[in-house]
Amino acid sequence: MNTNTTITAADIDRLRAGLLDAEQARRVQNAVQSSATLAEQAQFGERVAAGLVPLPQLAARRMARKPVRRLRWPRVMAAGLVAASLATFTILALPLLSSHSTTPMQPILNAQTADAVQNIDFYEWLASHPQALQDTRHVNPA
Amino acid sequence: MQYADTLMLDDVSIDPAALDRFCLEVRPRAMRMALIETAGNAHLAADFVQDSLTKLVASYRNKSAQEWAPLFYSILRNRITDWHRRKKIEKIFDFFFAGDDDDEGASAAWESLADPAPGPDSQVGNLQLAGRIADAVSRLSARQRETFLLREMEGLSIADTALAMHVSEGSVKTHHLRALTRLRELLQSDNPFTGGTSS
Repeated sequence: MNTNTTITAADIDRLRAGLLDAEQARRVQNAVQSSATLAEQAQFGERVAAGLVPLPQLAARRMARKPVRRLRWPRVMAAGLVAASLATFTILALPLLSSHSTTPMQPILNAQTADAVQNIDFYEWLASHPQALQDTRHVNPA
Repeated sequence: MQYADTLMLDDVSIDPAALDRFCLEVRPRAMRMALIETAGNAHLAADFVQDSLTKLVASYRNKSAQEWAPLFYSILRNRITDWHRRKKIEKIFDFFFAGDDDDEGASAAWESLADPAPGPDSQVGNLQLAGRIADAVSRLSARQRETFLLREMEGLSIADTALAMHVSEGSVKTHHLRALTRLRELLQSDNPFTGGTSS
């Protein structure tokens, strides 16, 4: 706050806001009471608030001017097309992706099956001769 | 004996006529505040004020008359804050609607609404000044705007304003000072003490 005798609008605003201590407030109040100009300045906030009285009239005009809110169909259609494309892509791509993921297992299974079918006699003989299987393990532990 | 007109609730004697008077007196001022907060949507502002008054009468009529104003404005603030939150979410869908850009443009300038006004010059002048003031008040931060309106328009005390806004009294003082300082800058041309013209 100003320490000299000049009271400014900022001092008056501080008084209005309640930010001055008792001594400062009394000094500004005395100055405001003794000067018509300062008294007018002190009423700034109240006068501004009072100036808002015709606001409902302006609001009524604004409501009259307010445009009707309506759908932008091209944008809705575009968004729908994008969503439909994404859905179609997902539906079509998922089976392909899942079939790709099972492909590496297929040759292994086929190779094992083919080996079993070709050597079925050997495996049957091996099943009926467990001693031969034991001998084979001793020769080739791996 | 006028006990017939007096309700006794929670040990506080309530005069129903006093509550009616309060509602009638506070409505136009609350309407102005709601209009500024809703960017001039009169229907919405009227709804907010009516809902808040209904809530006050239904829930807080047993409070003392001194508490009505801060309670009412606290309710009104909450309604408006809820609406602002909903509006943020609804804005996501504005891409699909026409007329929103024009709407925002119109809400930016209250003063422009006073230009084509038919009628006496003084009325046009008052409307233009009201438009400029509303534009200036709209440019304050939300807290500064609420503090200014509650302190200067409604005339609430610092303590009641703090109660209505759910902030400390120190915060109210600071926001009030900043609002006054900013408004003096924004309305410089209308202030006769800074070279402008008084209206």
